[in-house]
Amino acid sequence: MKKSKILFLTLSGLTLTFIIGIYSYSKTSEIQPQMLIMYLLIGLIALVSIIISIRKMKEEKEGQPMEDEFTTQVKHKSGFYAYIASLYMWLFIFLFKDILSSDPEILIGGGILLSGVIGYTCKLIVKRELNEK
Amino acid sequence: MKNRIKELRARKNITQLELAKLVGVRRETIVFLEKGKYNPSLKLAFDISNFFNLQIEEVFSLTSPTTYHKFSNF
Repeated sequence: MKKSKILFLTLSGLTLTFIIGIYSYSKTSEIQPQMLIMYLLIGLIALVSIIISIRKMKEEKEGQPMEDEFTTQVKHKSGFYAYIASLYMWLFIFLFKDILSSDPEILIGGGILLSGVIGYTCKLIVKRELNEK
Repeated sequence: MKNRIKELRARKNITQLELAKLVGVRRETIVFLEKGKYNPSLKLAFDISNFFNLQIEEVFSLTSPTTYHKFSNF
């Protein structure tokens, strides 16, 4: 099976499991507003990921490789920037944990989600400014 | 670094996708190369030049020739 197809099926499966999970959870207990924001963020990340995986699948059908030297360079650079930005984000979360939320699950979950958003943003920035001296 | 990929591609009448497939990269890489936003590896630069049957310096050149000036005294 092609790499992009595996990626698409995995993402779709995870998204479906997540939706079923939220649906069953909402039946048993009330969803907090902070959790609702988090669910929306997860939904957004899942949607973007699925769109990207569909595009990659199409491109692989056209005969293009899934990765090449450009994508690898972008991945490495953005990975480094995302790591540094995430460190500052966690520092921010720990400093302002009392203001943000009292529930540690929300703090940790939110931090993980924000790391994903930071990673994607860094990728976009690096792509734009790859050759800036 | 600047390059003549767009011009040479137009002369050969091939699309970005066709060129990408021929040199084994993604179309996105050709797009960024043509815009001058990405400097290719030496291998890719050679592959592209070979495809157009040209020397590497005929396809790729430096925008600021500072390096040449530095070494010209030696």
